[in-house]
Parts: sequence; structure tokens; C-alpha cells
Amino acid sequence: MIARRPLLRRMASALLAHAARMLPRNRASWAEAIEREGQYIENDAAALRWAMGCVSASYRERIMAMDLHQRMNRLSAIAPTVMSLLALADVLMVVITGWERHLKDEGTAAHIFQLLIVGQLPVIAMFLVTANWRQAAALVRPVAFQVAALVLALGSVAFFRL
Amino acid sequence: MARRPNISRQTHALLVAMLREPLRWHHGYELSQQTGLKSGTLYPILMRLSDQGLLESKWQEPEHPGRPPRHAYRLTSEGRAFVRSFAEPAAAPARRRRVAGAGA
Repeated sequence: MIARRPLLRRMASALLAHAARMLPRNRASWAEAIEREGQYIENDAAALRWAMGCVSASYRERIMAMDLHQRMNRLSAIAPTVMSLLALADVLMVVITGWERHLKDEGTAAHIFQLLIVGQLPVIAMFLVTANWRQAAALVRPVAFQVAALVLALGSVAFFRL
Repeated sequence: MARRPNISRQTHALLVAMLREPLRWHHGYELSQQTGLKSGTLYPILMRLSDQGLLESKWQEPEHPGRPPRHAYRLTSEGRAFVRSFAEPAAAPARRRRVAGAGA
């Protein structure tokens, strides 16, 4: 009877196989290297930690190999700022026109505002994932614009006591 | 004076570790143990260095039967020169101090 490998080892092997599959085709030799290196780690828990890191590396390589990842980064850098400014415009519209000021509960304008703010979270996550962290200084400006626009939008709600 | 290359702290640690035994072939897990870099950080660095021609790799047959061949890495001659080009300015003051001490 063949002894079954420990659970941690089986998980590590599965993750390494997944990491190898996720690497771009031009990294085929690296995929094989990653998968085989795990077999040389004696400790099962260490092998699992190693495998998890390899999955992270392979996802990163896959994203970096994409031509459109820079475009995705630029778009996701701008989008949160635009969304915050739209949220600000929503607030100003309510204030200027008096639309839904009489409502006791949240109306359409409030829901639009909330969607524009909360909807930034996945966009910001995309921005962080696709950012080139080796040139972190270049990230300061888009982040500053995002923060400033968000502060304006949220601050307007507080200022007008909506 | 050559411009100091803009490399990350992690890449610097890896290159210095490999330069200690420049002609020896290193394995991934061994490099991780020496530098403290996790696999998620180590492999992208190794790939970049290989793409830039600073690192070479080969498959090594296992010492013990029953295991697959293993990927091994070492710096190319260009890689060794690259590391020495930015490692030497930091080492130069230490060499001058040792020489001054020897003459005293």
C-alpha cells in the first residue's frame, strides 16, 4: 500500500503546479524550475510557504507580461479621481437644485454618491496591483490626486451636512 | 565615474550573496535561505537578471536518485562585473583603512 503524502505536501504540490501553469509561455523553463524546486524542500510547511510565494510570483509575471497592464494602470490611476469628482458633482447638484433635500431616508443621489465612492475600491486595487513599484516616486502624483478628490467629495457631504 | 545602477534592496542582497561564491551554482531555495527573500520575491528577481544577461541557469542532475533535475543559477561574467561596479566604491574606504592600519 502506497503511503499518502501529508496534506501540507499535497497542497504545496498543487500550488506549485498552479504557479507553473500561470507563468507566461515564454517562462516555461522557469515554470518547471519552480515546480521542481519545491520537491527539494524537506519540511512540508516550508514547502507550502514556498509554493504560496511561487503562486504570487507567477501571477505577478503573468500580469507584467500583459501589454495592456500599463494601460490598465493608467486607467485605474485616473478613474478614482474622476469618480470622486462625479460624487462631488452629485453633492453640488443636490445642494444647488434642492433635489431630494426633503427626503428623510437616502434617495437616488445618496446611492449614486455611495456607489461612486465604494466603487473605487476595486479600481484602486487594480491600480496597486498593476503599479510599477520600482518607480514608486511616479505613483505619488496620481495617489495625491485620488486622495485630494476623495477628500473633496467626502468633505462636501460634511460641509453641507447632507 | 559610472552611474550607480538603480536596483532594489532585495536585488542587491541577492547579487551580493551570489558574488560571495561567484563560480558556484546556487539553487533557488538555498538563495532564499541565504538572503531571506521569499520565493515570491526571489523568482521575479532571478527572471529579470536572467533576461538582462546577468544570470545564467542550468539543470543539474540530482545527487540522489529518484528526484528530478534541479535548476541552478550563477552570475555571468557580465553579472559579476556589474555587481563589482557598484560594490567596489563602498568597499574602497574599508580597503584604505586596512592599508593605513597596516602601515602604522
